[in-house]
Amino acid sequence: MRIAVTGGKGGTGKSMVATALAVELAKNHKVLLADLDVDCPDDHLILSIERRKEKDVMLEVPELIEEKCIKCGKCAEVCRENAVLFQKEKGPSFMLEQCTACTACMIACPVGAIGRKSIRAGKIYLGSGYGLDFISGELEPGQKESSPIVNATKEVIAHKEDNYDFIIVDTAAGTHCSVIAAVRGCSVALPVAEPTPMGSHDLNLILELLHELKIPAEGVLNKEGIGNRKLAEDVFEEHHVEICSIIPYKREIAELYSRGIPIEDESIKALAKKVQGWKK
Amino acid sequence: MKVAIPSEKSEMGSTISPIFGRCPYFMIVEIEAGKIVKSEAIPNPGTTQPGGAGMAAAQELSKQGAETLIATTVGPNAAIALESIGMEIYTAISGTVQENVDAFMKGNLSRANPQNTLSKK
Repeated sequence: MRIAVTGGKGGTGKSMVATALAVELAKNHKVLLADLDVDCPDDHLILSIERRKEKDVMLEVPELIEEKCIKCGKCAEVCRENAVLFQKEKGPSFMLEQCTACTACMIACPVGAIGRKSIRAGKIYLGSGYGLDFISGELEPGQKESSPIVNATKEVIAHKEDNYDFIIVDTAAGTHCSVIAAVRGCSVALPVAEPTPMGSHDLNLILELLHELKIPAEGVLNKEGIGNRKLAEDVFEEHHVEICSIIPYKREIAELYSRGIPIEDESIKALAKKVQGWKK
Repeated sequence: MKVAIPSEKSEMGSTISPIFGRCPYFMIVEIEAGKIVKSEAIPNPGTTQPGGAGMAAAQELSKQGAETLIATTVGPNAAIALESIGMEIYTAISGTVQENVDAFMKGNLSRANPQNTLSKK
């Protein structure tokens, strides 16, 4: 069963919940924790897991073969990122800063004048600890798009999927392409909310996204005890999403978290129990 | 020669637009022997782009045959694009498109390199 832990706003506690839940479930099940927050994957730090590099994620960007180019401008026509500047006499200029490696230009070129240049866009790491297996994707700093790294990591996960009872996916914050890529393929999502105005605003966005993607959501209300819980509760209610877990705001949780020790709070045990129930 | 000027509206009397990638229009002014022989307003395709607006705008200017641009600021992507197509850039003065073209024809505008016209970060 693949479960996405997401949330919209950064800092609501996605990684805390994902790592704690994974560790708890791993006590009785085979669990893979997948850190798909590829811009800044931190789960290996939260659980003090030593990662080892499994592979590089290579993308293919265009490289013009000048002698073959007939200056037809087709490459510029098909580029959706405005990454190809075309001038009638001079031909195309490829702005690789804008390129997302979709390879449309290479396909569109009628004379095969656009070659492929491999660039490293990210890395995939594996690891294990606390009874679980771990995989994380990491974007090469300066690379434009996170989704290709998320998708490359998902491909590696697909090969191992059947070995696990649960795959817990930690997504990035926000509602952008990389979150969509991470959440796709999950049978349920746990949006983690905090009881604050900003948290509720962003919660609304992530719940809308999950609705669009037709992924069932079960809400987690984190940091309960501070702020105003009604803000988050109202948003969950508007979207007809049940709150399946309430995690209290406790200093001990923050302390353990900052020391790279998994959280074993009662609320986490209760959440794990619920999740186990869903599998049946 | 064809000179492009980012413009708020589609006429010579319009205020110059302070931006490049998403300015509403470009006025393309054709100058021959020190006189304006033609002027045309082109809607900027950059305004509808989700990203790479500056590149789309630069591409449009290239398509229009403009080799000179009078601008206040250009964004970082646009700067790269304009440099790669060899666009000559002059620093705009505040005022209308007409005033800028007049100043340009009198030689009163200073040449800029694309990096110097980057939007303030």
